[in-house]
Amino acid sequence: MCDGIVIDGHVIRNLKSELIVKSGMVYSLVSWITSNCGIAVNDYIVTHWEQHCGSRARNLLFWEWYFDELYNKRTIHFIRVKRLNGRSWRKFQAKFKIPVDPFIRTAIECADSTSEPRYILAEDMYLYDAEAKARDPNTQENIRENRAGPICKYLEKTLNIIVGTPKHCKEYFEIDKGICSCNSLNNINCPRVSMS
Amino acid sequence: MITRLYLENFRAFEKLDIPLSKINCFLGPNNSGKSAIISAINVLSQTLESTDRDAPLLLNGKFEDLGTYEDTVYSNITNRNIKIGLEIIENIQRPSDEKPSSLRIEIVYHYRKQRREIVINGLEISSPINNLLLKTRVSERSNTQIVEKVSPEYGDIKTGRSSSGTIRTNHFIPNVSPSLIRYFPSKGRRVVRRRRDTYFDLDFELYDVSQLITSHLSKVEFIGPFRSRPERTYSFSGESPSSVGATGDKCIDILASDQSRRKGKRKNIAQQVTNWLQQSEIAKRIVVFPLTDRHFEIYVSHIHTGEEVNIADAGFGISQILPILVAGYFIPSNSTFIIEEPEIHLHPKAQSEIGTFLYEVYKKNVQIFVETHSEHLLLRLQRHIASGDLSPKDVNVFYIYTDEKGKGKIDKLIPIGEDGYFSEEWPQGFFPERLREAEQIAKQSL
Repeated sequence: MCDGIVIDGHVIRNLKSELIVKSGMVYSLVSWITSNCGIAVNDYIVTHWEQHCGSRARNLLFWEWYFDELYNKRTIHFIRVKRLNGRSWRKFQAKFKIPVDPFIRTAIECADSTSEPRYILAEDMYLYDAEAKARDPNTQENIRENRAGPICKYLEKTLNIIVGTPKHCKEYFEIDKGICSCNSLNNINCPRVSMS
Repeated sequence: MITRLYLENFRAFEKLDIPLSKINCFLGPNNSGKSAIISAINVLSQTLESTDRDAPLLLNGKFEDLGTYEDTVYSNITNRNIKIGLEIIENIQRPSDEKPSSLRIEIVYHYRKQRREIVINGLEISSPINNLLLKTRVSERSNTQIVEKVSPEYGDIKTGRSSSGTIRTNHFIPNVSPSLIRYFPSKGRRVVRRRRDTYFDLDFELYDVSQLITSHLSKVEFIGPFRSRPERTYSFSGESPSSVGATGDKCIDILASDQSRRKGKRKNIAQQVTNWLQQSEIAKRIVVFPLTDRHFEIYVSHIHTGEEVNIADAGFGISQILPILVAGYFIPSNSTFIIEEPEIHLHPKAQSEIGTFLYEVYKKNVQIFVETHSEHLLLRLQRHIASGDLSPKDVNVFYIYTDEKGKGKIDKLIPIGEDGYFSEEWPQGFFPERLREAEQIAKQSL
């Protein structure tokens, strides 16, 4: 059973504006995710979303969407997160010069606690290449698009967690083609819903 | 319009200073002090309506029943003085070059334990930009107000003299004692004549002050959280009450009297109420049906079937919202409309429609105070702001709560932006319970 995909607050921020018109790349992607494998969250990830989208008083529409998905459609899943070993996390952090950002660790732990496919839909540079954070936006964009950063490569190799942008996510799940080629998704009786 | 309210040692508040707007919403947990704010205005209003002109503060009257001074003062310590202050700005539209008249009045009440009486310990009247007009204190011996400070233009008035009762109070509104004016003969020496003229001038000024205060505090329509039960039949003597009353018991009389008026003089309250009930999908229409010359009954027709039933047999929500609707459509312009918990017994859809109803009342240039727990009502007001019907400046939302240590009540004005969203965070979250419960349900499966 797939527990869901972890989504970064930066992506959710883009969803916020698209919810008003109910269209757009992120909106259709997230709709596909919720109707096929769901979204994995824990308290910290929800707080991270709040930091990026604003609270309920300031962004009611988003939180109504969240309530609808969580309570009515039950597509947002709270995950019991297995904590990563502290020592190995610190080594990982030092190796890739990841700053002390609790979201990075929580997102990895949350994705690690889900069943296949383990996927983090993220635009946060710290999940690709922490050192490239200081570089120009175009370079950062290239690294994200090509998933060329050492962190995402390492996560895929060691923990089998794929980190990708919305564009990559669409390609990975072959959403535009109308089929879900991912073996893991086939295992969960994916209804093979195409994006419209 | 009342533009500011100051309270000291009044009910739940040791100190409170809030700016007020045309629509003022008070939200917060139970027992946080929302009603205390509203009761400050009510208590001044009921004092003014009292026939006893010597009563400076009527704690138990037609709007409020606050008990004794001890019950009303903060922490029940009778040694503390209660201070109530208001800033008022004239409602009347004046030519653009003329500034509207405004004032600030602060009344300090003191309790004399032995006599068990409330006296005005001091009074201060000034313009909002702090140009003092008059400041008085009570004389312990004569129990009259002594002028302590006065505007320089009334420099001839001697200050700090306790020998004569120069200023007396009518409830809490100061005026120059008529006996004092008589004391200065018109054919006296020039100094005496000048002083007499100064007193006359001050009296004129205080008359304007009293008019401004009275015009605001005497036109208050208050509907409390407990409304009277509906009856099967109502008797009608042909009188037209001036207000629906704190429990809404006069609302049916107002409906009936409006119905019996000639077409040109009718306010069509029943029709307006019907429109609102239709909009909120509560009822198709409301009918005042005469039984005899003296009796009538109220029929409500079902929103879908159209079946007519007596109001006593209809849903309880109708009888509870009816006084508010009647009051809102009946209230004259330039009044103050105070409602506590308008949403009780109503479905969320109807609760939202109260927001639109308040907007309609607002258009009559009525200042509104609402104490509510309804998220839906607030959201509708936000929607009116987002659509440009209401200016964000015209809606003040206060969140009243007790701090975690329980040391005091906190009032927080949460500003709303042009987009209708709150531009600041709510101290304890914006109605977070629904999401919290949904999250807890989701977590139960872990």
